Amino acid sequence: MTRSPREAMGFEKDDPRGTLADFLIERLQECTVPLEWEDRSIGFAVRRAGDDERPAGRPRLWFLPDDRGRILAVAYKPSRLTFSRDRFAYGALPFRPGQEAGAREDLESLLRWLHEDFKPALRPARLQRTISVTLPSD
Amino acid sequence: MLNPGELQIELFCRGLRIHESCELERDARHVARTRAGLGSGLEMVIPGDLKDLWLNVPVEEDFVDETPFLLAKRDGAYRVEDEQNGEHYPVVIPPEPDWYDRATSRGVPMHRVGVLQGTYLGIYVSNSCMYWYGKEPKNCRFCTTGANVGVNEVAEKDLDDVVEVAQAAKEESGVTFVHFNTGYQNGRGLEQIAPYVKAVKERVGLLTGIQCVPVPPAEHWKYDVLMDLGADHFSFCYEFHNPEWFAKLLPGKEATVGQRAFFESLEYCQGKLPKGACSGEIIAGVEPLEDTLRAIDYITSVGAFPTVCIFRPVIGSDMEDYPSPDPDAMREVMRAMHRSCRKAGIPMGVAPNIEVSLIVNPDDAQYLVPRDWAFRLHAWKQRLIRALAAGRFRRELRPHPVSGDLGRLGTGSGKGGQG
Repeated sequence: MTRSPREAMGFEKDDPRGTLADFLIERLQECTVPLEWEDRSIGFAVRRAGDDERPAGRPRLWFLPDDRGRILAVAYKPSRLTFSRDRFAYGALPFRPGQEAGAREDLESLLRWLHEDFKPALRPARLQRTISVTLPSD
Repeated sequence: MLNPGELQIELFCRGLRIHESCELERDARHVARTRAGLGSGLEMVIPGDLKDLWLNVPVEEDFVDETPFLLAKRDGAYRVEDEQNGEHYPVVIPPEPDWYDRATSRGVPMHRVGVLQGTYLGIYVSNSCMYWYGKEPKNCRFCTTGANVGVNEVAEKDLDDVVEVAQAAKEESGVTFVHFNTGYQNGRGLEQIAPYVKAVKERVGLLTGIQCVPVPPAEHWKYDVLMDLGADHFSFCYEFHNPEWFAKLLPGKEATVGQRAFFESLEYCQGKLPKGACSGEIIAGVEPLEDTLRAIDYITSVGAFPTVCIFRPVIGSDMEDYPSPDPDAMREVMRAMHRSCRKAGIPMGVAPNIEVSLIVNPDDAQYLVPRDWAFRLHAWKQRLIRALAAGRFRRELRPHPVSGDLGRLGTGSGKGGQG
């Protein structure tokens, strides 16, 4: 990443989501499963380290702000075709400022799911299957 | 050596790996799940002596790792190579239309409004299907539409954007048919689609098809309004004929309308339109084979044509871990579909330039039956029907005023989407 994850979220100093973003980034940095970080035009994504060598291993969690004052973690897989713009979304989990305590558990369930290749049976309970924002094209 | 129809089914079931010699970024349409029920693959054409076959080949799903089929570019031409026996088959990769990357007047990339699926334009007009919402979503278990809108396409379609995209697709890609889909919209799907149908008829001049969750018999009059607005085709996706499979895998449809509503609406609409104008859409490869065969015979018995998708365990769906179907069983299904259509006198391949890449079209399956005298007689009849219908289709493909009244559906002045 050329920017820090915090910079990538693009929050102003007094934006209440900044504290939430710091919390999420710290938990991700503490994660026992090594993660690789990717810059996005808005926000950042994480994936399991070393996944590039596995044909089916391509799950990503994309953290970005939505227009309802939340931070979304969008679960998706990019196409396996290098030229394709397609993305295979599994849904999104919203995080709200001021609810960091519950966010820890949600984040852990997301990371477990990431590790298990987004198996349908292991989907986090609070995951929303539909995505309420139009995602940028990157 | 497989004939084109057999190869089509093998590729639907087993998928295709891409050899490094391919230059698909330059040569192919982008692989899009826009409006993905069961689509996720590479658009391709298999040339044949009876007709060329369009198909959307699985290339993304995990089962593709095991396929014997490899797409390669040799001496500038694409071919499918079968690594089991060394056979190879020439194929054509249709190029991406120039308009895909252009923007509408409002600045929306056209490929995020609608995409070509075979030779027709598919547009998902509204927000995600409502079955996807709620704490326990009741989405159809094979589908990924709810997780797709907003990710790969814009969430709501502006009326003028749709008209511009339809115009571009008609002028530059020779499109003759636009298919509108809504998913479940709390019983308001027909109302949502109506303004788009009217606008495309009056401002572009295309054949139009509609796919909505059916309304109850007391509201069947709405179909009449849509027909007056120019709807040429209605498709009813009831997916599984066996009521238990329907209930289990389509919990939203089961809870809101039930399987019977699909039959009632199909029979109502088909009763008002020329034979073969409506379709019953089903998925083969999940429920028992005999149920699929029963579905085909039911659909043709009411004068409609069967749209049979081969099940694909699309990434991100609840059924992504299901196996892809057995090609031998699918050959049997498609052969039965062709025979059933012939027996019931359902016209095949009559409308101009409508090739659906996500399914095996009834006339695609002619490659699966013997070319005996009955076959030749049937082919002659289809040519005659095509010739007789040509004038009507020419009229429909010119922009023209329609008689339907949007006000009857309570959809106001015809501003759809965010327009």
